[in-house]
Amino acid sequence: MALTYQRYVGGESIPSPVYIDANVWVSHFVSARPKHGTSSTVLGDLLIQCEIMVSTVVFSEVWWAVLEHIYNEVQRSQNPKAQLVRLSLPLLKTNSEWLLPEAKQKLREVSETITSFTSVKMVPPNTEPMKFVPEVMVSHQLAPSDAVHFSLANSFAKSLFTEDQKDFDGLTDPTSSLVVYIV
Amino acid sequence: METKELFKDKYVKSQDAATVVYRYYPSHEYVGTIGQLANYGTAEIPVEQPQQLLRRYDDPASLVTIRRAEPAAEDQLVTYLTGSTGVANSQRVVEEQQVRGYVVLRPSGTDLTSGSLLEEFAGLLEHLTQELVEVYPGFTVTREDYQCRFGGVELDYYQQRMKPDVFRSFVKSMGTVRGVDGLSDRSLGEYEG
Repeated sequence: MALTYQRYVGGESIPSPVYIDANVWVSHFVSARPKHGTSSTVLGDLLIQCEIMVSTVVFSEVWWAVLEHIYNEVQRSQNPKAQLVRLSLPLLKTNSEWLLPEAKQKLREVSETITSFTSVKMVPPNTEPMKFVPEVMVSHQLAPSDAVHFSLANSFAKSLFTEDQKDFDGLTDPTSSLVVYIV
Repeated sequence: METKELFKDKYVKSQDAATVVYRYYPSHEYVGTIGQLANYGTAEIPVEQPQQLLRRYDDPASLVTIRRAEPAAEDQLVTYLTGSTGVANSQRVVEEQQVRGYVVLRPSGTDLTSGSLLEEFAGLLEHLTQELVEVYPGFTVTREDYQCRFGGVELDYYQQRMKPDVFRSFVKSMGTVRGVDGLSDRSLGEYEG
């Protein structure tokens, strides 16, 4: 069975375990995101019926996104016309004195929320993605973080949920039975 | 303790007392600053986040806390816990004043009695409590927040199918970061963009 893509339709039975990409988690936490309601609904459905896999890469991306939203939210609160900016590493360092204390509680909350769900499991701690991710990057033309997501999902889950198909666009793998659901 | 480093002397203690009250009586408890009243709109501050509080409001001396004056059953628990800490009452770090059906806890030494700020704050509280929506027993949000965080999601469906603790985590975490609209997903990667 080859890798397949499906748009998620509520109520259907999902092959478990499920690997949830960071963007779905982020939309659950951030109410201003366009897919906030949709991703929260999907997450609710998955929490009811599936075992959910996450990795440290998911946490890292969620933390970055939360930091970035809080940074822009604060900037907008001070100047409603402030341009949205991407939180780069230099920008984070420049603003770390106020941003990190400002965001610390939220970072802790999102982490504790994810780990509080009994159906959420971390990928096995002895997993060594560095041994296989570079090959996946090359063979599938993926960015590092996407290659990690795909590799871990392929190894430990039967389904992968993501908001954005373009992250894995053009991906074909006749040896993979992973079902990629687009939220 | 981290809080003590941020809120020294009396502010540590008044903040601790406020935290106890807030956690046990979230639906009718608001914390804000006096200066905030002029803007009249963002009075709810999670007191579990003293760092944020200090960051946003550079004068913690202006912090006031308000709760309903007519206690419900839960209020008795709150009163007991607050008193049992020996903080609010014995050290006189906060003082109480009743205004329009609300008890106002304020740092001692602050003059809230002059002018109309206190009245305005109580009025604001009245407005907010009328607009509260109970998401599940013990967890309420304003109507605006409800729409923003839970609009379009069938919470009843999940409440019927999830274990209570899972449902609580699911709901309380939903939309907990307001954020901004328009940031693309490419920003999620540390080295992307």
